[in-house]
Amino acid sequence: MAAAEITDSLEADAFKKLYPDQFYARFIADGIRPDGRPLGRARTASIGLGAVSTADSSALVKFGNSTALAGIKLEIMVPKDDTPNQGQLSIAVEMAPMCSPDMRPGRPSDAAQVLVEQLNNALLASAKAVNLDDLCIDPGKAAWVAYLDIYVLDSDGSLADVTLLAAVAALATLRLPHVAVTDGGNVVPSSEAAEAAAPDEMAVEPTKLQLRSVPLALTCGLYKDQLIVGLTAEEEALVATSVTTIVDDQGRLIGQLKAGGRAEMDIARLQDCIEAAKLRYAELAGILQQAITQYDGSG
Amino acid sequence: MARRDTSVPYQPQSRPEAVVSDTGERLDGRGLEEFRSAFLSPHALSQAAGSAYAECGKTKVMVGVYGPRQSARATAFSEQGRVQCDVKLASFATRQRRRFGQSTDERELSGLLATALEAAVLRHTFPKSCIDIYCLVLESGGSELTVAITAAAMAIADAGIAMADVVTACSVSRVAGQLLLDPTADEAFREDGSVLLAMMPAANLVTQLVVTGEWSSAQMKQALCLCMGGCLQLDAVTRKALASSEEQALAAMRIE
Amino acid sequence: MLSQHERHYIQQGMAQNVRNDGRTCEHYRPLKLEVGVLNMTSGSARVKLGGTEVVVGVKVDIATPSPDAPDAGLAYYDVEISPLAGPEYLGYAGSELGASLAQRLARSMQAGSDGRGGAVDLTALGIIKGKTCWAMYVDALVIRVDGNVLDAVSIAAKAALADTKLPSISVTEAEGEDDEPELEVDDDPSASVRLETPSVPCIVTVSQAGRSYVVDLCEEEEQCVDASLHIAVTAQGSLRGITKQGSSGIDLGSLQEMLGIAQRVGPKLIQVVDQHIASGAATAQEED
Repeated sequence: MAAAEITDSLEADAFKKLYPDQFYARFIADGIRPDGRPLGRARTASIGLGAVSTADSSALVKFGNSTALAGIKLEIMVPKDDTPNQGQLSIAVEMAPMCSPDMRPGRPSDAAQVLVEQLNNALLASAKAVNLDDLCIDPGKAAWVAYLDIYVLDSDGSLADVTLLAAVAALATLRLPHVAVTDGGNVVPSSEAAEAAAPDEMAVEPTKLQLRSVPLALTCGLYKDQLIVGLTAEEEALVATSVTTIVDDQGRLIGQLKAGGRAEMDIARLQDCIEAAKLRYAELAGILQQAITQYDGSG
Repeated sequence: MARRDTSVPYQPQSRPEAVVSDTGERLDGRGLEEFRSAFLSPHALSQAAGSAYAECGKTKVMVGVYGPRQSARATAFSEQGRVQCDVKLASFATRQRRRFGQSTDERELSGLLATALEAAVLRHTFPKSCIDIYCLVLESGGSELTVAITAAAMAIADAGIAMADVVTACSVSRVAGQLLLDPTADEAFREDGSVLLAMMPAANLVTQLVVTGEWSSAQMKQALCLCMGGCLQLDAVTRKALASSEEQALAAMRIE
Repeated sequence: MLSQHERHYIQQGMAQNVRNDGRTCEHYRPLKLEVGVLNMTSGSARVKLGGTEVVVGVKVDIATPSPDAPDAGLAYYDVEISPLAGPEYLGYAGSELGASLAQRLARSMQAGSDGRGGAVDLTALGIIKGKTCWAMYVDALVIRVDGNVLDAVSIAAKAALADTKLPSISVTEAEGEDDEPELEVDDDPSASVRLETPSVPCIVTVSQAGRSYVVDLCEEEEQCVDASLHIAVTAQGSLRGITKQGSSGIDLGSLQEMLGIAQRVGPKLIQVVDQHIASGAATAQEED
């Protein structure tokens, strides 16, 4: 009995390796995917906040196997002359060489560059999720620069979705310390500066960074005229084209990227992607809010 | 966008001066010869052939192993397989932010890690090929190299690559004449000497030894003894973690 | 590359304590050492250990101390393999080897985070606390490789540091509150101060071949050993930095033996080196 089971599973594995497209097509024809999900369902998300104590805020996000860790470190800068009231948000993505067999250490990959572009668009340019004025300390003298670095640890598809959620979660839990600029031009905790001036003043709690909007992404693919939602790495290799849609908490479309591929998509299909993204948004927003409330509650 | 080099770190707290109290208690409540509690978990990643996640106090390390496969670097023929290591610290892993791009200490850690693992891997089983060990330190709370060595050995085992024995590593810091086992970053900062030992516990062979600072023979013996005890303790934890991970994998296969 | 038979022959010789050139296992090759060979440096030395040849130059420059050690200076170690040593040292392979040699040399000299406890007392390099200090750059250039490069580099570095003189500096206190103290560097070489180097170690590389332990390997012998320990030893016989190299494990008994050998051979080696340095300094003084 056991021998037959093993032979069956070996045959299935061999078929999958030799004819991946046919293997997949058989599942899709039945309206289901190899991991058991229906075509319209994305993977469950899990969010872990504050995992790295050396970072000013951090978030570990997993969609199935796809894993990204975002960490923010705050540093001080002198604001630029033409924007004296603004700080800076510097985003970087690194595909850790362990995340996929194609990655090698040293060379920054193309995939990482694309992800950085999408994150910059989502958080700064289009959605203006972060208002850089919030990062100012003393106009013209000092401001915060938040280095948001995201490491992709396990690359199993939907990287744009995972990295954006990790970035948003890290930003949502970022607390800006209360600081003041001394006469000598140094930035010190306000309690110190306040003690020097008026010793009776109480120490002030760090302030949370307010996100003006919360953008989240969903990657969908087109396979034999069927829309597949929330792709794994294997699926990304099989679909004819994929589209990443970013929507925010007010239901606005922040961005949509269809990067080439072997098939075209008509407007109706793109609308379907937007609807799917909105549905996914409700799901993710709930999980994110729960995680943040738990994290804030634990101090 | 302003250049990254134009910002300065903000660090209100300096490192504690005294790391051991008069009663021999350390800042986190441990005794001088006590290990931090270790969490070791093989098969943490899906894409890599083998992987492991290790957490020792505030030091968190993720390791992924690929191979045996063709070496991207070396082209010369070699009868023995190559063990290629790459260690990186995340930019937010340390108190002060690190720049992207490999620094000299990361290159050094990679070399030391490779030497620690080479003796244990049965390299004649994959001639002309190599195994790639990618290590990312997510949080650096002290003794990164020791945690990386132990995690990497687990990841290699998880990948099914033939090994003579697992490798466990342990380090000792000397602060004000006292020997502290498994130091944290604050303790290592105040050290005037350190000993790192990596060994194959069952075979009783040392695969890596890194010593800094001035040591007399007697003190060196003491430190080595302490490290060996730590390695043996860690060995039990490592084997248990690997065994339970294997059991889980087998159980999952049976259900399918 | 060596054939299996050549390797066997060399290992048998080591087992019988008679190596190809007649040395015993604990014997160093003839050492030639000169100090003060480079005019444009603050200290320099050139070492020939058998066929291996290394030149080390020490330069000092004004720098800002690290915030963790405001009253101490800085020391940087760098090793480069010259393409003269062979075409195999061009490019990545050479720079990787150089980097690992530099790390081992730096480890043998390492000070604590406060600048104290190192082979060279870095507080002697401090000028104005928190603001100015000397940064010492120890640069080694390997000209010829015939085995045991690290020991040769370490001997040359020790000699170069013993030869190093720091320019004399006078600090004039600031006049007003906002003024910086003034620094005046004395150009006169006779006014310079010699660096104190009593604790600078020499690295003794002890290698294991079967059951024999051998020091100072020539190039062919290096291909016949299983594992090595680079052990930095001071004149007093204490250990100052250890790194293991090689793809075999070392059992604990062998480890103790190898440490013992280094502690025996090291002080003798340092004696020889000190004698060379002293006679070199004597020759220099005669010439003056």
